[in-house]
Amino acid sequence: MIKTTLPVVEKSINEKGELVTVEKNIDVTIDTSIFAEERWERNFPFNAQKETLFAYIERIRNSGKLEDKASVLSNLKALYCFMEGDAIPDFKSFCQMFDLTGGGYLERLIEKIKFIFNLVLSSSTVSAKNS
Amino acid sequence: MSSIPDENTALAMPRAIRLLQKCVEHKIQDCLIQRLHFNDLYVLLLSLDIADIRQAIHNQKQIANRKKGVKYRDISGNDAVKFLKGGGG
Repeated sequence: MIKTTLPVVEKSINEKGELVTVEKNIDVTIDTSIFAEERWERNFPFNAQKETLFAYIERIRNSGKLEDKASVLSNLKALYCFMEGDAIPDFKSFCQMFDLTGGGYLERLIEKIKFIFNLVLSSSTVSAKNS
Repeated sequence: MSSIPDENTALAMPRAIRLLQKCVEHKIQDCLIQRLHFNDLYVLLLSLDIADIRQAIHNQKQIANRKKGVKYRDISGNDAVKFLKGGGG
């Protein structure tokens, strides 16, 4: 288990009726065990049919799609499977924690996803290309 | 995996379940399953499977030799050198 933080966005309406957006970091636990693969197969069976979760992120990293803003949602799918704990009940509520409309926040999120994926791949002693 | 049937003929069993089945077969401890990185666990299972297959081939060879009446002995490197030098075996 690897503990790290994830930048999320909370939106609310204040007393004046204005939309207030607050960015904060939440603590998350990254699980790289077989249970991450199990979450991948349970939540995204179509993707899991073709490749394992780890083979997927290795492919995404090698193709340079980690920095691609258009691939953020796909990358969030993989990221969701690494999340351990009851704080994130399903993929829908996980996606609602982020603001994918762009700006500096999206850049920070992409950087964080890139960091976590590199961490996840480097914590293994073997390569996923043959799995 | 040695005893996992072909993808086309197998029941639609998730990959994770098949791997967990393999963990049970090879008696891998729970804490190891929980803590090992997926890729490491996968490689561990593959290497255990390969070792099992090698052992099975070895056993089959021994049975075949016994049927032919050929005596077959596993010897160490030192024993082999001794035998070739005429000092024993």
